[in-house]
Amino acid sequence: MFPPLTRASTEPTRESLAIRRQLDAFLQSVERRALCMLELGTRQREEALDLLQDCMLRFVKRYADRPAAEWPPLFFRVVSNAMVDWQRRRSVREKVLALWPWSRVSGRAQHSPQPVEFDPPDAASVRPDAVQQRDQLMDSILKALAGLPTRQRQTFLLREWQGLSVAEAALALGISEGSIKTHLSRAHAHLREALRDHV
Amino acid sequence: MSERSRQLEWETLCERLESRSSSLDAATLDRLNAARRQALAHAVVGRRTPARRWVAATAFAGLAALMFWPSAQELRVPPAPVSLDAFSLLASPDGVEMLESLDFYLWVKSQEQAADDRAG
Repeated sequence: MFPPLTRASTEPTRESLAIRRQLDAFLQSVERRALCMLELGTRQREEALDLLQDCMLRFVKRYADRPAAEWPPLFFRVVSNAMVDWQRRRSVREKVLALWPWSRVSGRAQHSPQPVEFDPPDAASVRPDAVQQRDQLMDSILKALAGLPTRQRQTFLLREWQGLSVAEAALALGISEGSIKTHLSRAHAHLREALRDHV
Repeated sequence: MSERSRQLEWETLCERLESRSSSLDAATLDRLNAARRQALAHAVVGRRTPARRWVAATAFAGLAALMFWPSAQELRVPPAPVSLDAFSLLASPDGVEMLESLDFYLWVKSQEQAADDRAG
């Protein structure tokens, strides 16, 4: 099932196979959510997939030896760092492109993120008005979530969706527990505003 | 809007995200599987605890000692046994005189060798 190991021993031990199975199961359990988080940040699936591939590789190389209980916050730490790095790189690229007068229009058009598609309601299925309104409301909140500052969005997703504790989320984002509470409170406030517009 | 209803909205939002993340197309799922397999190919073998590191280090040191032990023994080659007769001859007054006239004795020996060659 697994390719041969690259270390001195070419025969995988029973222990290493067990860890690999654990890692495989863990990555399967978090990969879709991580992809969704990265997609909300990058607004591009291809970019998100590339980033997630790097994240998995980094996580396995750095943290495979750590106890499995520590994996969730460590994995999301890798994911959040990758997101921040990606945004930094994009910001630098846009600044450099802005220096060239002839690339102002075309450069921005090429590199600005595409708006996220949030699975618009299926036109074929006619649903009651209340359900349609609720779908529209959720789409608006999802868009508001995608538009949140990175830290607020990550904090909201890790706490509310991934279910990490304040301490775990702090470890994942590399910030203090107090900052987690602040970011979460601000994220709630922003999302409440998005809700208010539709209520 | 009450806090309870807001919490319900967050939960609904998370459900929405969950359904979004669990309804990925086949191509994306293939990419995810490939990424996971590639990452697992780089998995470190086993968990290395500090105790195991010490055991590994000790074993390595022992192995290295065993490897170098025979060569060290080989290096300690005992010197060729020196004849006590030769030593006593050199230490005697005749021996000292012979050493002082070593050139002469070498010349005599070379002459004898040349005479033997002509005869033979």
